[in-house]
Amino acid sequence: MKADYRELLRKSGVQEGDFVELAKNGQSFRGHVLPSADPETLSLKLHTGYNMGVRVEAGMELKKTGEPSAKAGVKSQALKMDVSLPKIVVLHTGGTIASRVNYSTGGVYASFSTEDLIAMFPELTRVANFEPRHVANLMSEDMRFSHYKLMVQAIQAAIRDGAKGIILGHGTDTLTYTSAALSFALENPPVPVLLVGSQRSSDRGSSDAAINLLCAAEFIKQTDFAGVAICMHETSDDQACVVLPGTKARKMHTSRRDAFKAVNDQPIARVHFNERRVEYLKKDYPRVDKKKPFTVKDGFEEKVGLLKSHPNMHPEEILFYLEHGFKGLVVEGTGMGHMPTNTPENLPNYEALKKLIASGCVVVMTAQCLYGRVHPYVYTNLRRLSEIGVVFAEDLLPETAFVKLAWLLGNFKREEAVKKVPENLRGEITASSRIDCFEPE
Amino acid sequence: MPDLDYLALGLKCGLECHQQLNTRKLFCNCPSVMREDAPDILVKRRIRPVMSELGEYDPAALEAYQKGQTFAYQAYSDTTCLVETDEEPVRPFNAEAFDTVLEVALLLKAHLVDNIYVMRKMVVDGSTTSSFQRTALIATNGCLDFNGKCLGIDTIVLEEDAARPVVRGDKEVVYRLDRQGIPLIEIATLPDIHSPEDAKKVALKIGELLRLTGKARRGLGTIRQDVNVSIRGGTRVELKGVQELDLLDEFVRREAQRQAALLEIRGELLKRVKEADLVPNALDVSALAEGSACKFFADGVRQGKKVLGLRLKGFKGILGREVQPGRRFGKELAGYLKARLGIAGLLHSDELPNYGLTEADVKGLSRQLGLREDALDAFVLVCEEPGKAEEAMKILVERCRQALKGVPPETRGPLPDGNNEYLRPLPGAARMYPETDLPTVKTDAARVEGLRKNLPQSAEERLRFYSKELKLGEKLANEMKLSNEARFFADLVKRGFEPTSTAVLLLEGLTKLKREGVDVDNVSREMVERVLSAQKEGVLVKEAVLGVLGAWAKKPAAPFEEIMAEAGASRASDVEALAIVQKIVARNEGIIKEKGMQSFQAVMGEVMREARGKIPGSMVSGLLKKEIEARTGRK
Repeated sequence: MKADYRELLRKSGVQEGDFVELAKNGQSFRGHVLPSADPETLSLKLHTGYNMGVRVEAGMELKKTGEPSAKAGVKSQALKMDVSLPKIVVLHTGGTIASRVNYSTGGVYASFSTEDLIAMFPELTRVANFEPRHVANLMSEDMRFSHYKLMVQAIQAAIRDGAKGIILGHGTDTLTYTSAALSFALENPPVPVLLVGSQRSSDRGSSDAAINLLCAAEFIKQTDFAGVAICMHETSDDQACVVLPGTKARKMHTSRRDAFKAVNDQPIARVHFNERRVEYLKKDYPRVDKKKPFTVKDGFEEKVGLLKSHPNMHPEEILFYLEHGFKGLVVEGTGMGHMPTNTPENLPNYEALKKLIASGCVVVMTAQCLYGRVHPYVYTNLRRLSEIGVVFAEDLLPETAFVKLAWLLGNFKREEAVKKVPENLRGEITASSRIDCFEPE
Repeated sequence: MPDLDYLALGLKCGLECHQQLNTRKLFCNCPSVMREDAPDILVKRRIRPVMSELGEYDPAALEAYQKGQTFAYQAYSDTTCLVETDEEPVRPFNAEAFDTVLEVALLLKAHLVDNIYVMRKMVVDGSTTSSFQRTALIATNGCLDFNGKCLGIDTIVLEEDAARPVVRGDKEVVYRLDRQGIPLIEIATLPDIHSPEDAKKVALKIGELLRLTGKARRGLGTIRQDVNVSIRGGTRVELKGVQELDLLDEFVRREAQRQAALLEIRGELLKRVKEADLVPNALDVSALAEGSACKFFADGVRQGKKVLGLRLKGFKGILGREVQPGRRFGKELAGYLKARLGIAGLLHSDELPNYGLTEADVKGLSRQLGLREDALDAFVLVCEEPGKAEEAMKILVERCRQALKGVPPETRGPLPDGNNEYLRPLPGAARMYPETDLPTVKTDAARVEGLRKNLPQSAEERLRFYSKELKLGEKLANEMKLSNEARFFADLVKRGFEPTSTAVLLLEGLTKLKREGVDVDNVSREMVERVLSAQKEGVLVKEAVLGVLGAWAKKPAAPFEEIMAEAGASRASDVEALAIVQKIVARNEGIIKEKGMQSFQAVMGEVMREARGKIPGSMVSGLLKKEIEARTGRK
């Protein structure tokens, strides 16, 4: 049988957290017992602060000599409302921005209470009255369309409760999918809804969480923008954040603070952190249209897929969507929207695509280049695709196209949905391609 | 001040030695190079105080943050990466650095930790971009062989170095990231050293042991000592960051002296005064300063500062007493104001009349402050902005009260003259929690065994081997024994390279190239070996070895053959060699015929001018002799 530290603890009448003296091969160690992921290792926190793991072996002796150290806890701060300040509702969905570290185990856990939020970021109280609400707790790669509905409901409730704006804490991985989903689901919202994430967890003094949150709050307080946007670091410096359009942004780096960039578009605004100043970078940003009502359409078609075109494609890759009854498929085409469909080896791909479309599945073409537009006519191959009914989606980002297609198919009839794919509904498609929007890093 | 009997004083001293390694960085793949040229990247950050486990903030850190304290980090696009700028998760330990620390642990017969945790140690001064320093306990309970006895080694730690401060501004501190992430081995001894001389010897011995690995970085600041000192009745005081090993014994001596002096002061004060007598009820004496000739005060008051005076009951003669050579207790007090409030200085009654204050001024002050001659009262004066001045008085009273207790536990900084000054309180138990981006590391038994089998020889063993077996000269042998090249040298010798010329190339040759302005960092071991091999094979003559290596260092990416061709250093074939000799001989036919063998030196010189680096000198000499003989018919 393999050695197990829990067995040793049991035999010695010791519990995790207890202060113990351990004897092994003539050496002795003293410290608090920590939970250990590896059962063959007994982990101790020594008085110096270091953790060390001791391999569990026969003949090891463990003696409890003290109680667990005082339970670590957050000092709650009594919350005071300042009636002169606006109310901002903070919706938690999980991710790094909501995570805290357990200092003894090093594990990360989520926290959402108002007290915790204010205790972590006391400066927030100078900007607004904050009301955190729990929506979900998951890493953003685990998001499903059902979560979008929960968020929409929470946003509606916050608006009803008189919030000047909403901050939605979100994991960064799929943050732009969510921002696109909310952009489509909420038509003419009366307030700003800002998605905020963090690339460095808030247990570090170097975390970007506080600045992203504070800039979002300042923006909400000062702006007449209404709609869905993202607020994250502009550069690697802790100097300013940018407010990015919810349907035209993308996470472009796995780890940098300034991972989020506007693609084929400009940021809406820059928020200078030190001066707490909002500088608009766009004139025509969305504002509330008082003549139109705020409406919500939160249907999302479940069976929509996303496929990347690549050399050496096989028809099975396309027919999969037919066999499984998909209602929509977004293709990330190469170049201006190509798929390998032309030569004798690739003709089966063309036939597969034709069959898929004939089955009623809406196929939308986007560009895996990300920057620039797709075009249905420049090359013969493009024409062949558009002839069979592939919908070319202008400069729509592939991820936004995926969300848009699911939303269209979830709320409109097929024909209407097809018609709306290349139409601009929420700033997701630009009328003309800007010259000044290409600076990939 | 007289030297003391430190054993009788009960001196206890422990060292914490930090040595940089010349491997790549600990948690990324960047080279460990310090840069003096202008950085091409600047990142500006705020370091936010992080709530402690108990839900509290460090008040000083919070205040600095709220005041808008920023940190600027200088980086280089070619030698630093996103890990140093805290924009990318760390990678696992650098394997070479890990091997080196394991080797050191084995040399110190320490107990290796089975499962190693990389910890994050909180840092609040911005000296790391992440706001913590990553550190890992590798081994415990080691033993340094010292004077035939075992000096206990408490812990052996592998950690990353912090960034180095470049400019310390009021609102912004500038750090350079070249140093951040360089691997450091920290060796902490038990406090079992009992004399200043031994402290220095132990430090040297540890330094030597680290150098045996061949991985110790050399040069100023690459090895730093924290020295813990106490005497009987005193307290543990930490001297932080001693870089000058030569002065280490003096630093220990002076700290022991300081503690002894503080204990004497305590004895004296206990006869005169009670703690309750010392209260921060300072008086504003600015009015007195206005009419005074004291420029210090007059200028201060004009700038809107005020002068506060504080009566210190029973401190007469104490403020002027030396606690270290040339350092009085009054100066010691001023050190706390400097460190905690940035105040330049104070005046006290033991140094007056002076600084333009007259006898009358002092009398007036004494009267105003209510000093009593019979109680041996003293006073101090501070000229500062309102608020700060009151704060200063509180600090002074606090410190004077501590004088009744003895030696305050604290961290102190070494001064160039061997004395030391207050820096900050002793660090509490470090705030540490595990690095969440890395799993724990198991010490692999096979890896440890492999290292154990190939542990470096001691310096003495090396020296014996060099002189007895390899017949190296004394100077070379001594230089090689602790050189980072020693293990490479042993390896080369084992593979049949000639010891002396190899040692000369490694020790003197590279130094010579460096002096000639060649960037010797570009010279890899592979390059050295290639060049030595060429010499061994007879492709490259001895005289040309260094020149070729130098040329190669300028174009390290070029293949060896290209360098040889460009340097024209390929050894001439026998036929070519003969042709060169005959050509020169023909040119000198007259003088050879006339002088015979006596013309040898002159002609030899001319041949060598053309043949150097292509034909070995010995060969030229042989060929030339034959040619001369053939022409003169004589032997």
